[in-house]
Amino acid sequence: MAGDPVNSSQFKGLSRYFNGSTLAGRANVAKATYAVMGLIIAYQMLKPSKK
Amino acid sequence: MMTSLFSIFEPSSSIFSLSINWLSTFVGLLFIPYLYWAAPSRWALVWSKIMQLLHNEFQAILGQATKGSTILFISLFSFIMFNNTLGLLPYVFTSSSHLAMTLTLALPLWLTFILFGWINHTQHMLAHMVPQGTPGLLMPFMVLVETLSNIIRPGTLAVRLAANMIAGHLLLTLLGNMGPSLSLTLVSFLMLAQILLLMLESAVAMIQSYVFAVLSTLYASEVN
Repeated sequence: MAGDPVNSSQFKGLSRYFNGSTLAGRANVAKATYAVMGLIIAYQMLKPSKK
Repeated sequence: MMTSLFSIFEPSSSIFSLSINWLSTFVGLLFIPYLYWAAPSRWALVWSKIMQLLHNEFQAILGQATKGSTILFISLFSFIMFNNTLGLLPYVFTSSSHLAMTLTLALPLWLTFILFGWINHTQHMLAHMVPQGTPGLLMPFMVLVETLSNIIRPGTLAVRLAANMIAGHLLLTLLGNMGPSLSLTLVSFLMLAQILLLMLESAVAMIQSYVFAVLSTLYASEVN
């Protein structure tokens, strides 16, 4: 399931932390996606309703 | 008397309002061969051959580090297989055609894998949400799809087994109910069709138990 080991030094910039190859990169993408979804849901719940 | 098409699935035998139909769930245990004698019987040899085959299959999925874990999934396979195949016999209650039974098997299994995985290997479980090599733009979408697929796993496991069992038995019952109203020639064709269907249902019974066990093993292997 882990696949071939990837050398994380080949990634520069933002892709060092968010990529589809390294374990940490994939986990960070999942965390970011959940955070954005959480923010969207929180905004929808907390926004004032139109009268 | 058949009150409805699905009345064959209803537990109807009762003593003091206890549904004793469900006792058929444990009849399969009587088929497991004893290893009491020094020389195994033919059935005991066949049984251990099947178990060894399954052990090798599940070991390949789980990996060498999880020695001994295959017994849970092999027991699951045996339990479901006996329930499915014995249910094909006349008047034997098929407990695995009920969601109450299949969910009882699927939900605790899935829940333990999820709880263990997310509490002890959080980073690993998060990384699993994105398949390795996914293109950049597709990654958030894949996270949502994988999350949803994880959540529906107990449902799909349970419903797959129950629906397959119900469908086969229902088809056999529907065709059987047509018998009294047919001519001799048509009844002969009907009997042939019933025999072929029964052969198919025997295969489905064994395949579905294997599918349930293998998928459970796969879900377990993803957690480590």
